[in-house]
Amino acid sequence: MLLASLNEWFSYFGHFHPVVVHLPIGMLVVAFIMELLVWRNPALSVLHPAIAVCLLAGCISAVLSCVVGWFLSQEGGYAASTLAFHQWLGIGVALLSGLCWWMKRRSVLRPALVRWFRKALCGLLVVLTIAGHLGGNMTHGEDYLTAGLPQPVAGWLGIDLQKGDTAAIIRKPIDNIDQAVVYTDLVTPVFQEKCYSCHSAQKVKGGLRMDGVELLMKGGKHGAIILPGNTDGSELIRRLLLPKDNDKRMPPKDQPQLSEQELAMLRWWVQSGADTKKTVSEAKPDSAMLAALRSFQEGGQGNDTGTVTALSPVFALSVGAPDQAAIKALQQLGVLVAPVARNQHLLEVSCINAPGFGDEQVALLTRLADHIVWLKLDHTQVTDAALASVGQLKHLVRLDLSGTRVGPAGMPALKNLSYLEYLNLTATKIDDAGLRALVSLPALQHIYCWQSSVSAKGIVSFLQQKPATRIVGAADQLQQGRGM
Amino acid sequence: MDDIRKALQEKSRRDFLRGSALGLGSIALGTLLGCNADEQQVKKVVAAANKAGAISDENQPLVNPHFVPRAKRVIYLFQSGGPSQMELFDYKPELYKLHGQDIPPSVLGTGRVSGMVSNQNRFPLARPATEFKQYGSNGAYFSDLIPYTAGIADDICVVKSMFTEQINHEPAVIFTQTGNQLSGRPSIGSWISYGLGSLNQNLPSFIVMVSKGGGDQPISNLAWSNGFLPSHHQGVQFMSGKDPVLYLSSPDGVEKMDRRRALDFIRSFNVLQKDKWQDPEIDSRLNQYEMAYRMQMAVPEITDLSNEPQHILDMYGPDVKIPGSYAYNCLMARRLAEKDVRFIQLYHLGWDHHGALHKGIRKATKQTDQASAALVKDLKQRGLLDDTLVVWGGEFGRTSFCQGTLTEEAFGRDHHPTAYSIWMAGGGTKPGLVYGATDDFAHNIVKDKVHVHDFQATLLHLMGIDHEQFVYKTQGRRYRLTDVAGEVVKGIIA
Repeated sequence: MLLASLNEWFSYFGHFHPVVVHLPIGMLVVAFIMELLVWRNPALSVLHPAIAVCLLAGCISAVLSCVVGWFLSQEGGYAASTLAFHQWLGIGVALLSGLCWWMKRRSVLRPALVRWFRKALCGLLVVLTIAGHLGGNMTHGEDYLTAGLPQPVAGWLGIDLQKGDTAAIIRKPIDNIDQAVVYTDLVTPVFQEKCYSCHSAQKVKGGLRMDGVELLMKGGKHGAIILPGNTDGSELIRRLLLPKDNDKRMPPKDQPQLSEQELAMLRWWVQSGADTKKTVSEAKPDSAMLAALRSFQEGGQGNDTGTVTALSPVFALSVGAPDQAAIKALQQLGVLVAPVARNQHLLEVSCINAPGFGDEQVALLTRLADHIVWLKLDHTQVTDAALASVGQLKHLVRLDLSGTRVGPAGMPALKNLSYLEYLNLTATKIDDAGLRALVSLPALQHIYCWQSSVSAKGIVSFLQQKPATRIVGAADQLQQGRGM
Repeated sequence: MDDIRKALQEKSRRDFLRGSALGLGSIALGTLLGCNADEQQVKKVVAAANKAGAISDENQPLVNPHFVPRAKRVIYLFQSGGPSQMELFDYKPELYKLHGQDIPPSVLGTGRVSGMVSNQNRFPLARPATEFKQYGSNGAYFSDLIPYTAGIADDICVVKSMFTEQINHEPAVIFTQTGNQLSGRPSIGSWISYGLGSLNQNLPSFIVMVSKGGGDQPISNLAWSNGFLPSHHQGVQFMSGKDPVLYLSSPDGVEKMDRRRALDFIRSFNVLQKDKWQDPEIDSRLNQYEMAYRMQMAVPEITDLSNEPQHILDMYGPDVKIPGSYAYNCLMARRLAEKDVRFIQLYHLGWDHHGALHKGIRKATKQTDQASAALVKDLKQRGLLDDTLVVWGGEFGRTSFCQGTLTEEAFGRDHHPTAYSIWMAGGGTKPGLVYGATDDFAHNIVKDKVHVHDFQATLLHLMGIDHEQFVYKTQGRRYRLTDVAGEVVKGIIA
């Protein structure tokens, strides 16, 4: 009981090491400067007693630093070899400063000692500098002084900014997510950026190092942190999911946090067996996960695409770059053609500024058949004849045909649109028969057929076959009218 | 002018000016190209500008969203003045029983109250001015004052846990609209217009309408200011009456052809001027002239309501025939949304009920309830609600205790920033959801707090924009709509 509380106190005093350590540094350096002055200008010999006092005070504070430093080292988390060096150099400073003080006192009686004293004092300063530098490295990280060094000086010194430099991690761009190795290309960069500062060669908090496969799998002082295939049991995931104000939460609350995507990716990696060799395609993510992983492409950190799960699986497909000539041709007609998002080749196409767009021009769209996912043809001149071409746009998710002359005869042409979720047929000639032709579309979620010839009966019979679809039509309108 | 000339002649300064002017010029050009251009084309233009010495990478419009968007457009029905949450969405049965008793100090806390009630020596609770009933498949409570909004309970997502940092109208409105309490930052619509460009080249991407007849409290046009963004991203205000956009129609006797020739002539002067001064605002001006020319065709078509069938007009209520009324503006908003205008901002005044709450809130809800609900229903039946985000909300809420002397009906409520309600519909929000909760006094939030910056981050998220990466550098630092805060509210996204 007493011992335990004593330990706590020791550990608390350890925290004073960074404060106390500056006392010997300052005093010994002052002693050195004064000695330098006396040496150059004997008229300043009045300083001699002051030098002795400085040395004695420096020595005492150096001993004190050593003691609290030893307490701090008991907390662990520091690279052993650096710590040993720092420790012995620190003790060296304490001993050497004591020696210097003794020589200074004696030199009054034995002037021959003065030369030896001065040599010892220079040596003390060297030891002090090295010990201080090593201490700084342990506190701030080994690259603390080199990381911020401006060019071209850094270049002259041959400091490679990208190597082992936590301040300037440059992620290797991932060209093709399928070929990326999960561990090295996705997992490691996250560890490097968010974990290494406390769990690598520089600092080994909790006895855990994450900079290497074996070290990572070995775990920390409480044992393994990764149980392959068991996310709930893995300490790594558990700590990441704890509330921010929990002491055991990792990364701690004042440190950079993982993004939702990074967290999801790590959970998936652990769940899928925490393999360190497999590529993404070998690890077989489901479509939602693949879509999330795609956000790591182009050197991203997993953009905040929290809604990916609700999006169509189309957005997880890899398609090549679209035909620029076809895009140009459409744009010349006043048609808007734009990628749906930054890292996507998939396109949205809108004819809002091209009301004259009709059956003759519609063939242009088929040159972009792999790419068009959103198509707005509302209030254009297209008719049923155009739907044969539209039916070839196999990745179509949203199709707006409202206010056009399409009718039931054109609907069967849409039967291959296996991703189609949204179909707007408001104010067209669509009728019950046309609606029936849409039953086979597997992904269809919303049909809009207000102001058309679709009857309430037609909607009911459609819903009997596909109850998950939402149809907004004349019947719905009636219902709402009554409700009010 | 002489100063500029002098500056241009100083070499060191000229280099600086050249860099920044070309940089901005390339942005303006990029924005002009907007979504109609493919990224490569924009890149080429930007690369050309960079080669000429512009500063790269800063202040480029997004052109395409960061990720696949859920909403393509936004209709923001701003209810200015501070709608009372206790009279509309936030049902608090205890308040009926505790009428006249002081709000417990533990609830009141030490949060600030406005100068209008700070000298009151007691804060008696006031009974809500109406009754509540349950609606929709989730049994959400709505007050009797908003029967039409209650009728769309299954289509909207009510957020009861909004809070803001501002307690007075002007800073609170500016805070909600620009993310900062002081005016001078770009409003949400300007950010969207700048970031994503226009979907319809014949109309501005940010249109503002302020309805008449609400109240006499003014609203500053700084709420739809472009701030430091290029000036053609400011909200274009549509007026009521014969000329919805001032000075848009050609004077009598001026043919379209003449107008075109005049514009081309002015343009050649502007281009000369731009070569000389390198002022990016000239780009904005060029852009605006061309936009105005195209709007001469597009706007009359939009404001002509003669082709709206009677049953649609009836949906929006009797006021719809009065140009400039809230109902008229709601119908106009739907027509603009049909034309793919990115950001449509309505302002309705008259929610600031410091006294005579019973009377005031009945007037405000009568003016807005039916048309707001009609807008949502109308968008839904046309298939537009899926990718149009509708937002209904003000700058703060009102206190559960009364301001002034507590009477049966003439009492009022003061500004209350620490909890208020808004609703959203469509655009990827969860329909039929009630998000967040307040305590028994609607005074403090007890569940799922949503800060104004969180709301703004969510709005941008639904538009496909990562609010943390959407920045503009000016005066030496990078600015965001959400400044240094804001988290996307995942819970309300479908």
